Amino acid sequence: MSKTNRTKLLLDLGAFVAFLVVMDPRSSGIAVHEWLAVALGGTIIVHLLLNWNWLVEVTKRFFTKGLNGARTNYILNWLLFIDGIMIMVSGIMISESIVPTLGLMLPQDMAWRSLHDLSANISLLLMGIHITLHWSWIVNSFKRLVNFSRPQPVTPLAMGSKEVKA
Amino acid sequence: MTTLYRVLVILVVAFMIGGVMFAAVGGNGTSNPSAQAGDLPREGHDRPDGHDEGREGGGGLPLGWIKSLVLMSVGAGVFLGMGRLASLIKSKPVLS
Repeated sequence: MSKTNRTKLLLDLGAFVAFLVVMDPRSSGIAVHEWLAVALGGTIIVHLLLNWNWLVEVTKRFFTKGLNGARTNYILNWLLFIDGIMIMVSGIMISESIVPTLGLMLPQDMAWRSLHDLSANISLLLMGIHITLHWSWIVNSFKRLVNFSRPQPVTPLAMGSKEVKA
Repeated sequence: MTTLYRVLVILVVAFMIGGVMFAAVGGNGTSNPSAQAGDLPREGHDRPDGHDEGREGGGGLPLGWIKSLVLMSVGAGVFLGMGRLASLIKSKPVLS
């Protein structure tokens, strides 16, 4: 397994767990919810950087033929990105931990709270589709990661030629 | 340098989308005049929608996780179902 793929998989697994924690402020508490969401934003930037070449290639060839699967994936990724920004912006507007820590006071508006809840629920649906589209990659990479970390059994073929002959 | 440039591109796009959204919803908080700062409960009170999101946290079963996983599964299921339906429609012979 290549180092980049391993980094991608571990980063994505971490981001997924963080996503689940962020989506449940009732269990984690509002401060953890907000600060972890900011960290998740940073992780998403790294995720995009690691997949930058794919992003550029599909952007260039978006209108060419024979790109059906990648095109669907690309559109869904954009929707997820826009939805993520919607969550961040509305989250900042209704922040109860980060923004007050910075000494700022924003006007309360119910529209932002509704938008925050709605976009969070949409992000769950989109994340489900995102994971589905990459399921085979996730499973294959995970298998490779597990095989990589497991000590390989020593077989006669794996040993030196002298031992095999003996 | 390339990485910094890419990060900058991502941030600029994000700020542009965020800006449009901010302008659309009403950044000055006047989109819903009946719900101004003075009318809304502040920290320490129950939320009007009945969601007291446990500011201290750390209690109870992580039911939110289950809800999240169920919603993700629903999204995945609907997507897969639609894909299967589309392939069925494509493969169906046209009756003449």
